[in-house]
Amino acid sequence: MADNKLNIWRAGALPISEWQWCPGCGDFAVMKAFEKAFEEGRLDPQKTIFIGGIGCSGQARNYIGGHGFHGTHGGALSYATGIAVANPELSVWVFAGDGDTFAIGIESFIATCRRNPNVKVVIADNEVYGLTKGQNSPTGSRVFVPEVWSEEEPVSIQPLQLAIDVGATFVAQISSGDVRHCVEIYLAAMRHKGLAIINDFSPCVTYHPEKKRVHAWYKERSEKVEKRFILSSSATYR
Amino acid sequence: MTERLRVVIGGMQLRDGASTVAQTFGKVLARAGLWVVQMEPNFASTIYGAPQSFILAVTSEPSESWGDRAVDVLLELDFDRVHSTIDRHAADLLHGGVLIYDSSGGEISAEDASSFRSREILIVPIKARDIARDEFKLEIARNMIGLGALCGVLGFDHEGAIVGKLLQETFARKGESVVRKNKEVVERGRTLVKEALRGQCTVGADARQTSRSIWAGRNAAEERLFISGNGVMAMGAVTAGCRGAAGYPITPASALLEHMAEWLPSVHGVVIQGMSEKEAVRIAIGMSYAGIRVCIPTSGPGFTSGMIEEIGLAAMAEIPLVVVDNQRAGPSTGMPTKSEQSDLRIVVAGSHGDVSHIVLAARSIEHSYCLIQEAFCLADRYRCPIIVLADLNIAEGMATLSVSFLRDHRMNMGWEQVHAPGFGGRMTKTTGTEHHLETGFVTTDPALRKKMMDRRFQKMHDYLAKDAQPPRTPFGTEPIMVVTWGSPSAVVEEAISRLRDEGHKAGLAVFTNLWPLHPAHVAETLGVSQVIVCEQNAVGQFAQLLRGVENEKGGIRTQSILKYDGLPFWVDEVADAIRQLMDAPQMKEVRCGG
Repeated sequence: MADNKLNIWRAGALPISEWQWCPGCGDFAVMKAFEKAFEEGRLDPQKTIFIGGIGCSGQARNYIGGHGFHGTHGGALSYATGIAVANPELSVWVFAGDGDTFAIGIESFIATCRRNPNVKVVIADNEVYGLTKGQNSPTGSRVFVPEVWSEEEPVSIQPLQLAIDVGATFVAQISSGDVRHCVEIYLAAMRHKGLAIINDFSPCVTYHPEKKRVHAWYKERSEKVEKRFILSSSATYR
Repeated sequence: MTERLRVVIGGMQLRDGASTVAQTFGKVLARAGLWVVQMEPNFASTIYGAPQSFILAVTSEPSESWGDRAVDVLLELDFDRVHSTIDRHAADLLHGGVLIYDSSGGEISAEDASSFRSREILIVPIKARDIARDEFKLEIARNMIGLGALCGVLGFDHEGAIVGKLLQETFARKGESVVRKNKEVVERGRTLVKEALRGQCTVGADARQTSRSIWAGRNAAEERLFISGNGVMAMGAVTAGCRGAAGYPITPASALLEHMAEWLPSVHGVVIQGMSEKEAVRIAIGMSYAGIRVCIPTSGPGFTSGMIEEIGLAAMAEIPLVVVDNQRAGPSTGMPTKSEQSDLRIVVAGSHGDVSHIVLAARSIEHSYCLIQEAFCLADRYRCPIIVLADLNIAEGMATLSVSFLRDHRMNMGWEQVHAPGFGGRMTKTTGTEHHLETGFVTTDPALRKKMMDRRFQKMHDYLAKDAQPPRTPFGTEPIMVVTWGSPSAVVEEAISRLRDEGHKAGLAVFTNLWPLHPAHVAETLGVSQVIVCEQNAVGQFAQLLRGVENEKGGIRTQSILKYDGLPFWVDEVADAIRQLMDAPQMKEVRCGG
């Protein structure tokens, strides 16, 4: 993103030189995708609310134009619900990490999936707690030993399965390195009427114990799968 | 001295229909032109099986005081020989009072009967359950026999016209035959009382004389409602333009949320029941950020479990918020169905850190209607969280309010310019971190931080200068000042009237704007020889706040009257406590009840 290009999504936002993310952080690519998608989707910054969770990823609210909101830990989806319900004309986006969303925010996550507000949620899933320096996260796999033990090895949360089980109407998973694919999914989310849950593998190059988990690592191990379930309007998948 | 009739209607919770009788009785009297206040419904934190009693005080002049600890008329609907209402309240039955009870399961013991008679108490046993079941084939209507008996013995609504109209309104949707049957059932209650009174007209004379005298003073000229604090606060909120409410069911705030759910949709508002208080208050913050006035009803456990963190957010991010804390006995789960005033310290703290917020306290059901409207205006004007303290007595209690009062007290403090996203203008980065004023970006710069903190607290100074109301002092400033806040206000006022009639120089200060506290308000009112603080908590929370206020004279010394057994203050016990403390200025406190 060139700072000198006239871009409505750079107005009122910090220039990339001031972004406080480690070199190689997956979130840089996420921002590329957001900007592209917001442009292609012709969103109006005046009517776009970008809610950041607590954690490295939440800083993104200051790195893009439009309105930004930053509340308490785990609350992003609930603030989003209130905003969307109060003014249906707003385009409401949440960008939060796997800790904010699936640990302390698990209640918000379940409640919001049940409610299905018109909110688009992108979870920066790096399978670790970055900002607090390396504790285990609910999506961390049981395979690795994290730098800092925070609990015994509980079973990981499977975000997609959980979302569907509690009523989410749009569930997707992407890897932030594939910016084009991310943009497609964001645009599809914009077209969807209701809650969109998008789990986004966005590597943490500093604290994830498997340092080799960078964009390339994910690319080697993933495939694009397109599955669509048409559910009845009472919507529980059995 | 206020002429007052205390009626207690009791039975087993849910089973015996005491609630319907109390509500109907209250409405009948309100429509007839009297003033009725009902204490909190003395219910248990359970659904079925526990005893429940409704205490109503009837006057021909407006009053939200419950009077002395005394009962004039007792109506026991429990037919099982459990007779819990009698057990709980008979000791308070006054000389010349009346006892009506359902004797289907057996009569009261001979000793009890003779003890009542020695106090000239009229005893009216009625086989209400048997009659309703066998004669009317409508056992569920047995409580209405009690209603008829009550009105009959007290001489209220002689022809049954008002009751008849109410029954018509209540049961019309169930068909004419149901309406007619209920009317007959009520009439039967009246007839049974007439029979019982034959040959007993000298007993129960005091209660009946009081009721006749009050009945004679009725004024049916204006339309009145018999309504709960929760109901009237919901009305006030909607009137003030509140268009969003969120909460999690909790006693005694659930009904406030339910009333909002009843009324908000018709004004295009929205009500959300959260999966917890946390979810609810966060949704409310989102709604407020997007530009609508929101209300969050809760009680102590809800405030501490879910909201404290968000209060801090609202203060730091400068998001308007109105939280209603209907206090109940704590700590922890405490006594969910008992009133108390023990959340003051925690709501004054508000959150961790230095919180710029405002705490208000309703002093009566009537006042809560006005106060909640003020709260919305203050929230928008100062862009901060406002905590409105009520308590279970106000929330679940009921009072008579005239419709003209409700119309005349629609506040018009003006509408503030609301900064909401999506309507043009500046785009903002709203955040709970410390931030630059203009951009909203995160900062830890010492100069900016200090400037922002000072700026947030300057709003509080502005509030103190422009909008903070001084305490209400109906008797002016006297050498002995009794201070109170919340639901005890009417009772304490009556106690002081009584003392003043006896010649004592006591005054009253009722505080409604509890935090921040204006040092001048405190100094002017309480720079006197004796300050007695009357409140329903164990440690004297408001007294502690008052003592912390800076004062040129070197601080205020307070004496306390404390009650925390779950029951409200009574006029006689407050008057006694004040007398004790007046005579012994070195005495630290009087603990009532227990």
